[in-house]
Amino acid sequence: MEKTLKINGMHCKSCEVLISDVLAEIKGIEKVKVDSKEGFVKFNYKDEHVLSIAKQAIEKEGYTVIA
Amino acid sequence: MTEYKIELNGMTCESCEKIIERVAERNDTAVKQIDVKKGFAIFESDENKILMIKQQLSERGITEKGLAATTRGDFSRIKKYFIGVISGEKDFYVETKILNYSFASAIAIIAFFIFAYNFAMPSIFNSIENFTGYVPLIFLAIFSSILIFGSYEHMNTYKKDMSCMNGMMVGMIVGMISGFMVGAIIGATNGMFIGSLAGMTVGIGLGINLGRCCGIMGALEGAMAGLMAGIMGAMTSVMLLLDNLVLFLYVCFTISLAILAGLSYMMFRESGSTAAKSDLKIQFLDFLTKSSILTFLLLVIMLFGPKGPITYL
Repeated sequence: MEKTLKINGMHCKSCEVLISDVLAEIKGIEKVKVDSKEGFVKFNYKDEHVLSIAKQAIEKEGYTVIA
Repeated sequence: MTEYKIELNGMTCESCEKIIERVAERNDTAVKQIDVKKGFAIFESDENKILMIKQQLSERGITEKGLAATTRGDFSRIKKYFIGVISGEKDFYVETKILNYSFASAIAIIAFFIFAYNFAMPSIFNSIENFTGYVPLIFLAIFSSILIFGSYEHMNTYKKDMSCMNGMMVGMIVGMISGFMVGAIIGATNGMFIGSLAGMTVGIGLGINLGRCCGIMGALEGAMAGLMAGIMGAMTSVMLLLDNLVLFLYVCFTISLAILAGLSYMMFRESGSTAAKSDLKIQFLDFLTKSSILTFLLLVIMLFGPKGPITYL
């Protein structure tokens, strides 16, 4: 399943790298694409549990998942 | 355990600090200090792990100062890029497409021009006084239009992923070179006033258009580059009227081609080599039409536009 999350707090290329890194470590998440300018992250996920882990991991790094 | 201080390029913010911490943690290495402002990090680890950390940070855009900087400018990387583009390797398909479009457009425009001169409208060309003197400059106009448009489309492909600094650089270089080329050609045939106006129009237009992806600062930098280069191009031509002007322009435009080739490499390195690679946004017919329009406009100004008091022909 594909998911696009709107993220607050991203401002540069390093934020993109950081979020990509964080999501790459979560099993069940693939094809991550982060866009700091537009403020979204797009990825494929296995199930709802993985999605919830992904949201928590992003928020742990200081970003806010809006939707 | 030994303490290693690594001086790093590319650190700008708190996210960079987190990236370094994560990479260190993944390699079982303790971070003793990170200073984003001064650009260094101190680790406590062994040499092998430090090498791994340097490699992984480099993959994330944070490179070691000194040695890494030398590696970045290594000529073999540039050679690999240009060979890859020319031979049409998969990784460079955007650049290969632009190169192919440019060559095909140049051939099509030159063929059209030869056809028009010999068959379609020879009377118009023959009515222009000293027309043969214009020919070397007409070739420069065709060359410039395609070069300018190729660079513009290359940047258009990647500008979404371009960092502000790189975007400003591209806006400035394309604005400057396009303004200079157009200013120099029109300056030679029509004089300083018309040459400057034409150079500034093209240079500022492209500079703003490309620079604006980085906000007002990028747009202003593109505008300034176009403004200066447009005037400078026309001025150079007028100053060289009695001193091998055409030869100079060919040398100067060849150097401009080399600079734009370098810029193309930079764009690929900074944005085109990333995972989310974009595709070229323009089709061949569109590319041909737009570069032909620019060429046509330049030719109309050169051949039929108002002339200043001091011109090449």
